Amino acid sequence: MSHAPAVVQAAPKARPRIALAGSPNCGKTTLFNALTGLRGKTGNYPGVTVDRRVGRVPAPTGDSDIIDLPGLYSLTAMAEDEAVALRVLRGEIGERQPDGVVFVADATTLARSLPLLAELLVLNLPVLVVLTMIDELKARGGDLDLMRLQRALGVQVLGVVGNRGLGLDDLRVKLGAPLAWKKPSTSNGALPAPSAGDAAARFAWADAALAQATRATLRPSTLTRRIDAVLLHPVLGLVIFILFCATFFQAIFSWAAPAMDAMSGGMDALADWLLATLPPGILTELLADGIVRGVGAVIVFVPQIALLFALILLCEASGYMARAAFVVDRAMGWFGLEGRCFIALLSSYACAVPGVLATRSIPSPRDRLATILVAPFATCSARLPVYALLIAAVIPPTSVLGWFTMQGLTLFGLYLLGGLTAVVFAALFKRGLLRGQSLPFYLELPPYRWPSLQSIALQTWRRLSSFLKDAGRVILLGAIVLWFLLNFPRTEAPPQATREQQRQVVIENSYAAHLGRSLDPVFAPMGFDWRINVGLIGSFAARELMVTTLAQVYASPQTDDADATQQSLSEILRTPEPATGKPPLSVPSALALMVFYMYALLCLSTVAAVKRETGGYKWPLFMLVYMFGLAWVAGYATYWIAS
Amino acid sequence: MPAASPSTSLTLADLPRLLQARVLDVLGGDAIAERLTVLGFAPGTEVHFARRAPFRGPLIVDVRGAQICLRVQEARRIRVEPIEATK
Repeated sequence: MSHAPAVVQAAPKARPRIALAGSPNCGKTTLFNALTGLRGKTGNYPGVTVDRRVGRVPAPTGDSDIIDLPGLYSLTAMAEDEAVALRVLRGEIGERQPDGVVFVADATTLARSLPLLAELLVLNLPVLVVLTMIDELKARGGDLDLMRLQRALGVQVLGVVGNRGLGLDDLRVKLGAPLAWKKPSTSNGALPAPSAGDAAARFAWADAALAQATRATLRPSTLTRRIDAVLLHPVLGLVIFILFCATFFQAIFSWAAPAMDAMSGGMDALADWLLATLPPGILTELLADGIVRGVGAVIVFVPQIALLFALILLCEASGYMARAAFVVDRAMGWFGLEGRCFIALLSSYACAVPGVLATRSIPSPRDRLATILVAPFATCSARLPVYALLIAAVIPPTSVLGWFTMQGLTLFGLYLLGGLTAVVFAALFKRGLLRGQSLPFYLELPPYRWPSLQSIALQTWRRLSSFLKDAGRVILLGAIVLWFLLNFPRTEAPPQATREQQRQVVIENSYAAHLGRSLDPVFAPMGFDWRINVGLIGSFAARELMVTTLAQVYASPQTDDADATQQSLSEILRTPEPATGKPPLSVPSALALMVFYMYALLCLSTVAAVKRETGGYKWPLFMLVYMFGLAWVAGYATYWIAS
Repeated sequence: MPAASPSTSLTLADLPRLLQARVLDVLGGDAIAERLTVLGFAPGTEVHFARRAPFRGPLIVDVRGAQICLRVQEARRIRVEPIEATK
């Protein structure tokens, strides 16, 4: 007997682990962010693609750890995220079974979300009910007697306003002591929750509990009605949707540009400074040229990726994303996809990495995978410098139909073809490889809400940092390997040679050049010589590096001005060489190269992102292979037709 | 109100003509039917038509205080009976 207190005291020393469960759009993530702040972390559950968010909640009476479960409507374990939630709640994955479950529900849509609570009560864990959006409920004329609801449900009910922090201090304290919560009980007049069986019984239970607690029924949100009358209008809605896409696109390209230019300038300056400051040698070159410039070429895209994340989260939190998906759903249906896939594909036009991550909002795993598999076909911004180079080299600036030029039309054609290929291949995958029973299409249109900027900033930061952590290793390794291939074995150039000529000598004798020459049988049918092959190898770290690599192979003068570098290189590419009397890149070859470049997955970051999102190397390897095959066939066909 | 017989029954896909209806059941008895029930279309639930996208696109209905968008394919599985408009 005398040992008992010591045992009891030793046990709670470990911080309580509390799971947050609730349906999508219930304000759970906002609540999680408000409770944990920067202490929240995002990861993946092993082997599955479901986000794992955990974070420490500080409280004066004792801290707790909370686990944000994926949003669910039920624990019937039909979808991957539901299965994960159920296994976490049962303690099958994660460190140990949670000590308590917080059921988070939007106070304005309780009639639909409360049945899930019946399923949670059966688990026999301490349960606490937290109602969010209490302010909105009141604003819309609703009135709920929380005490009566508590009695009807048999568990404690707490009302909070997550984005304004109301009620959170009380909740923090409660989270620290789940053993003090009342275990689900049917004494004191609580309605017994249906223990098993059909959803209809759970709905009936929820309706009965709400009937006891509702003092006034809330009105539909008139603001949402009015906005939807415009945004979902058959004509007006479509016009606004197109404007939205154009603005989204414009924002990604122009708003991120200053930060990207500054990053790229900073990386170059850092590399130059390292070269000038550190003692000359291979290690200094590895650090400056291999790591700083190589990794820097990828890091440059971080502002764009961050902006894209933030914009997507903003659209999701405000409620527009679901409307955009509704407007575009019919058209996406022709390709076997749904409205939410469109946003991921649109993002991929800036960069496939956030595009791949944006597929998380697609509930059907098959639709999600189909979107991931085709996302890199969209013309990302890193392809633009390469297209610009090749177009300037071989396409004449002849004007067509008044204000269009052949050059502009070619670029437009490349953009269009990329998008078309993406949707056509998605349709093929859905009909073939990814066939199977699908989830019903279902989209909830949440009321329009002011997004919590704090929550969006935290989520952007978490997505970005977890991407950098995961992809960073692959990118660093890739940059070092490519630097090695392009710089070894070292070859001495004649001392009177210029810097460009020295670089050319090194690269001509490098392993990359050997590799480029041995790839000749593969690429010769398209008229590429080994130097173009070296460029393709160089572009694998980041696509736009192809321009730099080609400039080195052709000893083109490189300046700080990217436009000037590109101009002199495109001049070299179209000028006949004395040795052969032909230009290094014929028109058919250049066209074939553009097509090859559009289809081949020459991007380490995308491979890393897909590996992360699909939980293994199977799908990224599949993508590398099928995209290379397609690129080769389409490139060869282009060469053959153009010749 | 008498329940409609299965042969003449209406589905949620016919909702634009009804504006208001009550869910009778979800056809199919498979996982998709189970899922649609869980999402809010339990028997006895009142649904209201909100709008639909052009070209037989998805439709939006109000159910249990939420606005839900379904495609015609899914809406056809949900049998409903009409409710007299109250206004």
